[in-house]
Amino acid sequence: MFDRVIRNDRTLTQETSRREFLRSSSMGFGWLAFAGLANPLIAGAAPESQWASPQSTLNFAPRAKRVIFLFMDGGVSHVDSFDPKPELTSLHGQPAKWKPDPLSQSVSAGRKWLGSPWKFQQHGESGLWVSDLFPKAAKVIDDLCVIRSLTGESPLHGAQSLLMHTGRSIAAAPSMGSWISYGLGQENEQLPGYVLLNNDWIPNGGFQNFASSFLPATHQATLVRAKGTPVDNITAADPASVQRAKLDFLREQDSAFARTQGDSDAIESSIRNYETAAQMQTVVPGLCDVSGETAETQKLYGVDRDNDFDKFYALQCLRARRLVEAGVRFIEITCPSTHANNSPWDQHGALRLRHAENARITDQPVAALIIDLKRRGLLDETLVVWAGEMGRTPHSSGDDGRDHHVSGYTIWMAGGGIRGGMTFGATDEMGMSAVENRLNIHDIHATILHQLGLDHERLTFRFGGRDMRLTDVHGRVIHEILT
Amino acid sequence: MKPRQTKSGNRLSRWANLLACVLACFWTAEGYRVCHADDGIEFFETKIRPVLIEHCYKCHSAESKELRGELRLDLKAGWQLGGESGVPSIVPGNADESPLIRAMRHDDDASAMPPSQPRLPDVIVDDFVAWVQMGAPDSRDGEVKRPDKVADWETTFQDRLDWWSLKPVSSPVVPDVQQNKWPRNDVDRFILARLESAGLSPVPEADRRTLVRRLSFALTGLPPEPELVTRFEADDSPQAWDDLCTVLLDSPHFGERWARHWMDVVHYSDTHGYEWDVPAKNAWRYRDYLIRSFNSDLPYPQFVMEQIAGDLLEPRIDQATGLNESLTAPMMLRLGERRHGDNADVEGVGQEAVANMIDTLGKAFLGTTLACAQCHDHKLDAVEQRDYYSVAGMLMSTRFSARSVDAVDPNESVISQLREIKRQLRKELARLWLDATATDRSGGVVDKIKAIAADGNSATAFPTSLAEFWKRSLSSPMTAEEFLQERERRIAANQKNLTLLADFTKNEASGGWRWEGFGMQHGLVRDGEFVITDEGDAALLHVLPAGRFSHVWSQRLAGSVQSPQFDPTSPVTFSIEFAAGRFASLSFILDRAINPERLTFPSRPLPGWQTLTSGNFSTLEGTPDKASRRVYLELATKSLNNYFPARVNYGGVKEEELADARSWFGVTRVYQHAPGQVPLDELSRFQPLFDELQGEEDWSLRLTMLLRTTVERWSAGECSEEDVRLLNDALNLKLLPNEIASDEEISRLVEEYRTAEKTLQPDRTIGSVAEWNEGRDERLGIRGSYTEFGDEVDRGHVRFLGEQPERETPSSSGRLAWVRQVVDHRNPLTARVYVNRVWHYLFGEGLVRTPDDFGHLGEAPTHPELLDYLADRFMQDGWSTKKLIRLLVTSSTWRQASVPDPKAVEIDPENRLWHHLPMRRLEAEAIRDAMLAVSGRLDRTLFGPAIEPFRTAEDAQKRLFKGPLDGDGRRSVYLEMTLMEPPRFLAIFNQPIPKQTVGRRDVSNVPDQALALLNDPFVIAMSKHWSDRLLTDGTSSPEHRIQGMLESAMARTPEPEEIASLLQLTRHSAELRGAAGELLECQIAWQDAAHVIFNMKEFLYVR
Repeated sequence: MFDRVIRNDRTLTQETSRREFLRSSSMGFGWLAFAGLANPLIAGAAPESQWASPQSTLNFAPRAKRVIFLFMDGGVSHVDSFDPKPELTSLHGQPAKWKPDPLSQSVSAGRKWLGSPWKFQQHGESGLWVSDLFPKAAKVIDDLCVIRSLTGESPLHGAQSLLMHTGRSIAAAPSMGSWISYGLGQENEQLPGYVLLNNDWIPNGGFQNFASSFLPATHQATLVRAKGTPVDNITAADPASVQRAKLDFLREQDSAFARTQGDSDAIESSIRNYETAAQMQTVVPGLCDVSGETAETQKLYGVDRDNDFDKFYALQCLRARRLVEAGVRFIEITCPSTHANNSPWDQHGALRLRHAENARITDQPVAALIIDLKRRGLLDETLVVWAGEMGRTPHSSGDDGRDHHVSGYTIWMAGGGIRGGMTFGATDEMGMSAVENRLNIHDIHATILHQLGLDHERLTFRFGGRDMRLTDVHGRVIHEILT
Repeated sequence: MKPRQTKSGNRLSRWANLLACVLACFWTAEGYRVCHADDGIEFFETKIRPVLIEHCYKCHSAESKELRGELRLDLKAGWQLGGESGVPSIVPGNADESPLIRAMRHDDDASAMPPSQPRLPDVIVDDFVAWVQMGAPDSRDGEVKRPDKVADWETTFQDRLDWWSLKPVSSPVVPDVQQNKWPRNDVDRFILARLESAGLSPVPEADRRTLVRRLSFALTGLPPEPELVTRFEADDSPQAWDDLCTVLLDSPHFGERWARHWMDVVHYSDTHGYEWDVPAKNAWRYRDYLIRSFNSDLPYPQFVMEQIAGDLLEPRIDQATGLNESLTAPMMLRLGERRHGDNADVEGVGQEAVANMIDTLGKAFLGTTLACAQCHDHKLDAVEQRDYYSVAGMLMSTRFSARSVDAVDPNESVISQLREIKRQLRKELARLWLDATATDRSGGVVDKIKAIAADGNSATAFPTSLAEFWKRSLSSPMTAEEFLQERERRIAANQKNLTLLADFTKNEASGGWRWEGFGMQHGLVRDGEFVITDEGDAALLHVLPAGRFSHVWSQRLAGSVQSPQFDPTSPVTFSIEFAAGRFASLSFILDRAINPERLTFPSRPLPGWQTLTSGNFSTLEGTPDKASRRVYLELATKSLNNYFPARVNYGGVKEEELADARSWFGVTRVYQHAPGQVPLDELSRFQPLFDELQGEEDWSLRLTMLLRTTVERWSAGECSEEDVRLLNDALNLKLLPNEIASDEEISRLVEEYRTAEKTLQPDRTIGSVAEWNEGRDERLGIRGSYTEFGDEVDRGHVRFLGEQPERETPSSSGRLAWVRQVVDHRNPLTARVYVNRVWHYLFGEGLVRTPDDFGHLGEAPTHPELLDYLADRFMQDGWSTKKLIRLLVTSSTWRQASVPDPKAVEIDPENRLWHHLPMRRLEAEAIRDAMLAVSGRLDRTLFGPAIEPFRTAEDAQKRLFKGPLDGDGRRSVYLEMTLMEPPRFLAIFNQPIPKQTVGRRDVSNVPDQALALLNDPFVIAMSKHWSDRLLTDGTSSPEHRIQGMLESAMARTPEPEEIASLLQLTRHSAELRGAAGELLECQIAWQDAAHVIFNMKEFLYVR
């Protein structure tokens, strides 16, 4: 990590000592701090002072301090959730034909329109439409901004998942969580900046979705599992006293070794890592343990539910709030895959059964998260994004399944300076193509960064000779949905 | 967001106003043209020009740093000419058709302007609409000069060729130095000369024990064995260091270490990632190939040629294994993330694979970012977009097939033994069958036929089997006329309809179809050959017609058959007669897909016709480039099927079937015909039934006699294809005895056969490539598009390498000619890039610190003359990796101590002049391997299939299973590199994700690493293993034991205070854990001691 940053801006070595630089990097040195060092015009940006008021050098006044990304992977059906299509219902069973869209399949032979098996109703003061699939989300609809016009690049899980996470559907690029951790630096030096609350299913695209790629490794996601030990190697292998004795021994020996090596920075940094690691052993399990939460809160999220899938998803949502409070910058929650061989929402068949099951697992905890954040005054500064990597086709070759769909689908955002109770964008009357305010994922990324006070065109990292960006050469901030 | 109606409403009303104004002008003056006062110029000047200046000029004017989309908006001629699309940006009088207006309205996502910003306010957009509607008056005269792209590129290209890495390798003069005693070889003189001119000196040599440890890790990736340390320390001879180098260069572990380096370069993985993480077909054989190649010091040009075009070289045979090394090597091209499916499923599957290959070829061998030119000419280097498609054409003219890599056939003698058994068995079976078909034999065939009951259908369909003829005889016996008429109809139809495409009954299949594998090699049979079952009660599986069958001798031998490429513009309908079982696959392969999802696994116990149409891919209909698709048919047994095992559950293959090596198929003939006019059964075998019909026939007798004469011919080895059908028909009806139990002799022979069959060695296969001389150039993708094309580009020519090399044949892919150009000593890149890699691995940084990029985006060499000296010498030395390594590690430069002089650090903080040899953290694999070695758990076995890494959670759907915690003690290079989840312990220490070339690994320093070393069960297990061993070491005192531990872990004699300190910890641990008794016997305390040693930085770093 250190080597790379040094290589990436040689001026740095002239302006600050390696030692000082290293100290900051071990804490998750942020891009803004980097910008501050590299650019003398940004005054008073010594690394140590960054953490006190990280926003002092942001590109914009931030509306959010952190992000919770609820990844609905496999692809929730937009026409069964937040994008009602009465016309689709009325043409149910009719042969499907549609206007060509470069993003949707061109062949319609044998395809029939499939009306939604769920009923839509208006909810809240905003009167937004939500289907019966998400009764709890319907209760917080006035806090949600429903975006109905997102498009992707290709109807493949792996490609779309990587695109959603990294802005690239192929090749290695840093995850948005890594970019944000890099951009803002860590609020809490005992914790990583990017945490992945996993539910034992790794989305298509694998760990690449959560990797820091060319960004310093410290910005990669730390994986917290739902079941069992939450973090790899987080449980001390030794009793505390023994470990302490080992740590003391190691500090002494390693310091002596460092001295024989001319006060090696790498060794000193590594010694410090042991102290951070030791703290993580204490802090992380504590954060992951929700038993101290009130019974009311636990019930609100549904930690008390019977089914393991339900219970663990609720647990992860509750942990997300605790991590938000602890100052983690980017928290992602993935869905469990209840049925082997399918990413969670990928219902080519058994749509009624499995979509309902997935909704049952996720709806209550997600709505609870909105309610809980709001009542604690955290929703304003926490941007919540609910999205899958695709939607599902309004047509079908059967009568209980929908296929991959990227020419127009729905996600929602809430909190963090996003206007609630509104919709943005629209698909055509059958839900096939986004026809109004067609967006791509880069626009969502640009908007997320914007809300955090980061200009997506200026948050860059020099790699392979290019100034790389999360949004590549794309992206526009969706000002229309901001408060 | 304002609703659309309002917007257009605004537009309309404004337009009406303007119209009124214009009309007023028109009517009140002489005419429109002279109405200067208000001809719109003022409107332009006040409403339009300022907006253009503010929002557009930055990217679209003469002042733009980089003119975007080649569009100028600072001159009237600019929008008239339009941008790169060539369409005018404004259609005067028609706002809706004007791209500029559409862009401002954000009508199309892609071209929304200004970019990445909200729309300009409606009032401005409305002004522009009005302005366009009034004819877009514009006062800005002036000419736009379109750059001549071709001429400009040519100049640019020539300029870019003037670049250090593209210039010939020179033979630089070795510089003079002042400190004449320091240099041991010329490398040192180059280094020292620069140090001296900077006023610096090298640091003293590292101590001997430090050097042994450094060398051992550098050359073998393992800590030195204690004897080696003591021996070297005691050896005063001037040859001592050289001898030590020899020992380590000759170690079989040398190959493991250096193969692993190369695996970073070619991003080795055992699976292909994406959704299902399917296996990369037996990639581990390629890993073993690498180990052998480095151990045998394969000259680098050969190494390069084999990996890119090994299929086209004379086979290079490894004597120990009998493997064809050159055919194993092209797995290199296939490594990486590869999607399942093909271009007809999703456009881009093939193109992405090719892009990844081009990226790897460019970086790995040429230090050039070739893949940057997919969408445009390279931004900085002498690489044209044409170069990219030229390499793509070469790769797309290559088939990515699984291949048998056995160079010699190990099965000849077993097969002659099997042949003899079959000969005897045929005799014995004939005896039994003739007995059964004797007409007076009670319980024989006659009786069995009589026992066949009639059914309702017998009268309707024309009979085609013994049973059907019998049933027919029970209701209305067929007449000779009826039979002959039908037979003649069928023969005539076949003659008229069928054109022979391929004939597998001949030694060389006609029509360009090809086969591969031992099964096929030994599978050419005449009519009447038979297959013996390898299990169960039956003796024969079936009798075979003439053709080529992979399972003639064993179902474990491999086979594949491929068709030539079909013409994609006119689909061919054809029928293929084949039999198949146990998940042999039949598939069209489209656009070179390696994980095609078109596989079927037909279960077809007896040969039968299947009709297929080439290029019948509905999703391709209407696509712009259907004509460029490359389609062929493949049949393959499991082991020669690229996509086997396919993703979990694909094609109904059960997971427990995967390990069964048995799989078989065979082919007789392929006919082309018009749709619907399929080959018909000519029924000739039943002809004798109708000879000399008397009237009242006994059909059971006639059928029995028919069968008997057939058996007689079979027994004499004279049967026909029709006879084979009749025999199989009879076997199916159990008319002929086929139970092993029925006869002692048969039982004995079948058992003998089965025993011998098990000694046959199945083919060793791997995903490789094949060349079919069906090369075709690729078209240039406009801006990298998969659907918009430019001209075809001559394949196999990267321009900066020189003139286009001549292909072996006009229709070959061009790979061989190209790779020869790559390894030609006149190409300066290949040697330079490789010697720099070797330097990088030995020194921690390259002379060029961007080992994968020698272009303008990379770094310049710190010592250009030294780089050239090494490249030149490397080539002179026969491109020997071992000689190069020896040269470098025997230098004084490499033998320097690791602690820098503070003064030198001030002058040269990044150690670019090599004033010391920096300490480095061990690589992930070396950390793990060192723990195995020091604890005594290391299994030094070489080669073999990958070992599943340890996992805490499994994912059966991606075949991510839990491997042994310690990987069975095997070195890390043997752990399975799944793309989806590579070994976690190694990933924590920066083993790269194997998707792209990584010539230079990250070295991160994060708390996760401390957590892993403190708590990972592997580390704990190794500590325990070590401590268990220590308890029986017979040591007299704890001090002695500790001394021994530190010596083996650090390869040096510890200081007394170090021993005391660790002893104190050990005692303390025993106390804390409440362990009573003799310290030497206290396992857990020694486990703690071992554990802290594994955590010591001195253990984890090499000085």
